[in-house]
Amino acid sequence: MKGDFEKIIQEKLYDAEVQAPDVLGAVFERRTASHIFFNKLYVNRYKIMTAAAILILLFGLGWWKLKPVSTENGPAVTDGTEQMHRSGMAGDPGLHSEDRTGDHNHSEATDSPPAPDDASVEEVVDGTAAIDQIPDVADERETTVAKDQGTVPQTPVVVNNTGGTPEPIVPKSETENNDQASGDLPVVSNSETPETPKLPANIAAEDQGADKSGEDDSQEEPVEIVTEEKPLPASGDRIEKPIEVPTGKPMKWSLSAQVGPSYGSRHLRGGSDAVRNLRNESEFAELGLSAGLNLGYQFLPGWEVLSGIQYHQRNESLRYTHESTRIEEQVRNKEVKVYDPFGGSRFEQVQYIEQVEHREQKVFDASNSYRHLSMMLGVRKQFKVGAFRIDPSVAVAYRTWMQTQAVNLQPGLRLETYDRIYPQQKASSWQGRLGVVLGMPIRDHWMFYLEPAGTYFLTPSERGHGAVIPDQRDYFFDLNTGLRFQF
Amino acid sequence: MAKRRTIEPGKDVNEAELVRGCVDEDRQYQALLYQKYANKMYAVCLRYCNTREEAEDVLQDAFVKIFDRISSFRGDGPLEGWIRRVMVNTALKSRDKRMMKFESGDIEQVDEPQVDEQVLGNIQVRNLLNIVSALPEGYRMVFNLYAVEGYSHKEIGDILGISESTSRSQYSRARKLLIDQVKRDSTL
Repeated sequence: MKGDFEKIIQEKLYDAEVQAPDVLGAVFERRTASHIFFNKLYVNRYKIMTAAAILILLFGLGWWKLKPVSTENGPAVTDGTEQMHRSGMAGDPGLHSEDRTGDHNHSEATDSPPAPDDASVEEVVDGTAAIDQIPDVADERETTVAKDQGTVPQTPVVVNNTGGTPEPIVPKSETENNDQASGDLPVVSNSETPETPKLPANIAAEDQGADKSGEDDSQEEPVEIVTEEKPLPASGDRIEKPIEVPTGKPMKWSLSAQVGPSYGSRHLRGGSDAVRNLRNESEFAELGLSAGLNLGYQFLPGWEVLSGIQYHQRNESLRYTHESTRIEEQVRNKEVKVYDPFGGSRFEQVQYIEQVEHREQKVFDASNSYRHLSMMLGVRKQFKVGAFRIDPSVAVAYRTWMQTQAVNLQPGLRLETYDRIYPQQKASSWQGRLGVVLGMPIRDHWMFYLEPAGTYFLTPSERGHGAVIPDQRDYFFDLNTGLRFQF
Repeated sequence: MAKRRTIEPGKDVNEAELVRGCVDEDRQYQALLYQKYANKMYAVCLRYCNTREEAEDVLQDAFVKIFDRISSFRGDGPLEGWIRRVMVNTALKSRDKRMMKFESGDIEQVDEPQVDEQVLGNIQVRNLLNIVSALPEGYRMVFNLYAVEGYSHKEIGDILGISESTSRSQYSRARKLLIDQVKRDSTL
C-alpha cells in the first residue's frame, strides 16, 4: 500500500523535466535522418540485393560475351584446319580419315608445326615426302602399314562406290566403338565395303616403287579435283573437332561457404588512461566464431573479384578482483584488576578502542560478446601449386550490423553495460581483411580449403565519448574451413 | 510512399496525428514528438542512469526505438505512458542486472524513519533528483520503479529478476537513505 511519501515523490518526480542539452536535439535529428535512410535500405534489402545480384550477373555475362576469343585456341584451330585440309589435298584421304578416327588426339594434329603444312602444299607432287614431313601422320601410316597384311593401309578409309571421293566419316564415337569391338582399326563405308579399298594416291605411288614415280602428276589431279570441287563437306565437321577438345569451359564464378574459430581482441584509443588501463586489466580475449559466404568472379586469368557477407563473433571475459582493507575502530570492554593502597584488589570494567581490519574482496566476472556482420569486397589472386591452390586475397568490409552484450569496468568500479543491437548509423564501420586460401580440389567443381585470415577495424568498432570513454577497434584472426563451388 | 504533411506554425497537433506522422516517418512530426517529450524523458533517464552521458545515450537509443516501433502503439493508453515504458526498459537494459547488487532482504530489521511531509514537499525537484541519483544502483532502480513509476513489488521482482521480498527490502533501505538525506539537506 503506497502512502503519502510515495504520493509526494510521485507528484514531484513523475512529471519532472530536465532541460535536455540542445546539442542532443541536433545530434538526434541527424541520427534520425540517417536512421530513416538506412531503415528504408533495410526494409528493401532483398530488392536491393536481388538488383545487385542481377547487375553483377549481367556484368559478368557481358564481360564474358564481349571478351575477345583467346589467342591461344584460335590460331591452333586455324592451323589445324589448314593442315588437315592440306593433308587431304595431298591425296591421302585414308590417312586423313585415320587421323580423325584413330586413337590420335586431335590436339596433336592441331599442334603440328606450321612448317610441314607449307611443305605439304608444295610437295603435293611427292605425296610421300609431304606426309613424312607431318610426323604424326607419317607415324600413323607406318603403324597401319605394319598391321596390314600387305601394302594397303587398313585405315578408316571412307570409300564410295563411284570412286575415291571421301565421304563423310561417321562420328568419332561410333568409330571408337568399332575400335573397341573389333580390336582392329575400323573401316567405314557408307554403302558396302569394297574388297580392296582404293589406295590413296601417295601411298599407291610409294608402293609402286620409284619407277612409277612418274605417275605422280597423273595421280595428283583427282586429289586436287576432290579438294576443289568437293571441298570435303564432312571434313569441316571433322576439322571442328579440335574445338571440342575437352580443355574445359572456364569456370569464372565461385561460391564459397566457410566457418571456423576466430580469436579476436581489441585495442583502445583515446579516452582516459584510467579507463583504458582498467579495461585492459579486466578484459581477456576468448575464442569466438567466424563465418562467411562469398561470391567470386574471375575477371582476368588468375584474378578474382570477391564479394560476400562476413560474420564475426568476438568473445571476451571480464575478470577482475578488487581487494581493499578497511580499518574500523570498535569500543570494547574489559575487566582490569585494580589494587588499592591497603593491599586489596578489585575488578573494574574499562573501555578501550580496538582497531579491527576488515578485508573486502569484490569479484567481477562476466562474459562479453560482440557480433559483427559485414559486407565484403575484395580481390583474390589464384596460384596453382601442384594439385593444390594458394589464393591470397585482400578486401575491405563495411559493417552493417552489430550486437553488443558486454560489461565494461569503469573507474570507481562502476559497471558500464551495453546490451543492444546497434542501429545502422552506429554500426557503420570499415574493416580491412587479408586472407590466404589453401585449397585442395576434391571434384570437378568443388574445392575444400583452409583460410587463415586477419581482419582489423580501420574505423572504430565502438566509438567513445569525449575524453573519457576510448574508441575501440576490434581485430580477428580466423581459421576458416570451407567449400568452394566453381561454375 | 509516405504522404508528407506540413505542420502549420502554432497549430496544436493532437496525439493521434502525431503518431500518424511518426508512423509515416515524417521528420517534422518526429522532431515535434522529440521536442514534446525530450525534457521529461531526460529526467526519467537521469533517474535510472549513473551519468549524464549514459542518460543521453539511453535517451537517444530509446527515441530511435520509439520511432522504429511506433506503428505498434495501439493507442490503448496515453502516448506518454508508452514512451515512458520504452525509456524505462531501455534504461534497465542498459544496466546489467547480473551486476546490480541487491542485498537480500530482512525488511524487519530496517527502521522506517518518518519524514515531515512539509519538509519533503518543500524540497526542490532538482535536489530530489540529485538525491535519487546518488542512491546505490540496486536501491535506485527499485525506488524509481516503485515510488515513481508505480509498479508493485511483484512486478519489480519480475522486471529485475529478484524476489518480491528483496524488492521490498531494497525499497525500504532506499527510502531510509533518501529520507535521511532529505533531513540532512533541510537542516542545512
